[in-house]
Amino acid sequence: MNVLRFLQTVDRRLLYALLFLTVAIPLLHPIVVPTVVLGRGPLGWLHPTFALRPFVLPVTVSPSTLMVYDEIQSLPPNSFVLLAPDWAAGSRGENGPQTEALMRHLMKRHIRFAMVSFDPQGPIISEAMAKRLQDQYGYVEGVNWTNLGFKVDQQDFLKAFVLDVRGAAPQDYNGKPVASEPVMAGIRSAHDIRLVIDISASDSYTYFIKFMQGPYKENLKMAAALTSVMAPEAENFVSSRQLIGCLVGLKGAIEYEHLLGVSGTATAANASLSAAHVLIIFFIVLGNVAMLLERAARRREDQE
Amino acid sequence: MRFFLWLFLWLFRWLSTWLFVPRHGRALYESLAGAIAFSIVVLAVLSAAPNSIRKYTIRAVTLLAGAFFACEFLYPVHSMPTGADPAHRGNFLTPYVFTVTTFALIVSAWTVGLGLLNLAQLHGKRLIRGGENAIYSAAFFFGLISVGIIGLLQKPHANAINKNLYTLLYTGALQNLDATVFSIIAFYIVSAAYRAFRVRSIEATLLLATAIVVMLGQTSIGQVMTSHFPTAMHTEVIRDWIMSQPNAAAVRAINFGLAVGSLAVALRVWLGLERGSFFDSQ
Repeated sequence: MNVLRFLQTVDRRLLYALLFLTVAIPLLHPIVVPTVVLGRGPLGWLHPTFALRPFVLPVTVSPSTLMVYDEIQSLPPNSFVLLAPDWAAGSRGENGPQTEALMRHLMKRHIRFAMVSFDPQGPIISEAMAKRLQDQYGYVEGVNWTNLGFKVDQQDFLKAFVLDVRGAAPQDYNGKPVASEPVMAGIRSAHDIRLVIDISASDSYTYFIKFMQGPYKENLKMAAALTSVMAPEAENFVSSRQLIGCLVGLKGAIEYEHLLGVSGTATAANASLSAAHVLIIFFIVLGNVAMLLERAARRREDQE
Repeated sequence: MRFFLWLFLWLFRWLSTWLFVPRHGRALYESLAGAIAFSIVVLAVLSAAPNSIRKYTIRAVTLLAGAFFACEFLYPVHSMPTGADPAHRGNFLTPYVFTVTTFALIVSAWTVGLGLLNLAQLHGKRLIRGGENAIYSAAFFFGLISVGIIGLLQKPHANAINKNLYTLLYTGALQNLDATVFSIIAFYIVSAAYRAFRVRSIEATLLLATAIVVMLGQTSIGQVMTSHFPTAMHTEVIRDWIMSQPNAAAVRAINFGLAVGSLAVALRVWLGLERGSFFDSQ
């Protein structure tokens, strides 16, 4: 009985420690599994060879992620995409790999992009990310991409931005006039933007739908990359095709990296993500089984 | 009436062509000083005015701004500007959207300043009063002043000291603190899920089963566990169905309710009918 009670009231500090180790160990050291391979020796005899091989979890791409990938893949080179990294360091674990994967794809496809953020930390983190990736794909700031910086009020900014892109954002994050940047050539209103991608830990994508996509009907395509907790709310917009697709949490970033054929920060965290979820499920099931067994034992005692 | 409408639109055209143009060098600093002085005068006049006048001024501005956006949105829209044809500008109110939204952006920026003033007032009092929590107020002032000064200095005077200090405070401290605070939630979630998810009723059992399937479907390990089952029983397939069907239906219903409620609240605020406001409590 005492054991059953203990299993229902495990000390939270033990849970914290186990979660820390579950997340940290696969991140710091790749999981290896012992494998046995049968080979032939010098005399032609079969003999087993033991080896430790890295355990790679399989990745199945969800339709929602695939739709975002296909949309970017179908854009002609030199198209213009608006990327909105609306996130801060708090959601870096999910939004960071999503932003990186999307940037990689845009750069790989030679698509121009501008970044605008409604979170003060967004422009700093995303600019650092773009600068880190640009050399790999031959991108140049101001020519292939630009950072329009942080804007205070998303609703009012977007109302002005859809009509006059350069008027609403006359300078980039570093104070250079946007009109003089080759990346903004021919971009005057939202009509000239082929795709808007909002990467967020909130429902900021709904403002893009209301104030950018609303007056433009289906001409302006939109996608979102959201944290796992925010994604369920976006399902409606995906089913109504207001969002062409959505990257859901870290899993979405893992799927995207898989599609791109790169092994980045998201893929590195795949094992940690799985292990943490298994730990949560294990303890929930453990607590419930203990509770049911305790109830059954008590019922038996009462009958006796 | 036509004259007033004409005067109103002329004023906005003048404002958009003269006031909201990028300025550089001395003109920028003069404009900044002028804008701050003008704002202080407006705030001082509003503060000195009796409550009844302030109440009607705020209601009038709210009504006017709301009417502008409502009319602009509801009036039939013509083709919007494109790169090839930038002259097309929607209906007759659309060219003024930029000016009105710039006003709104300036007011939003002022509210940030107002928030800072309130915080400074609160923490200033705590700091003067002393006590065991005064250290937190000191940390607030240290953070505000240091990040503010270095943030302002590092762009016009981008020397190594300013840049390194900015990186230290912003990338080194703020971002990591933010990430740490958010990460702690994961630990609480594990503890809370373990204690709260108990099969005490049929509804709770259904919720638990759904949560486990969705969690497994959101990870690769869940896919491994069910990879030998028929496709319809794969966790990722069941997860996608749960998210796109029952979940979407529930969220849609909530959104309809929220939208109707928001519309009612917006109308009350717009028409000045909202009770329990600051002025009503005076």
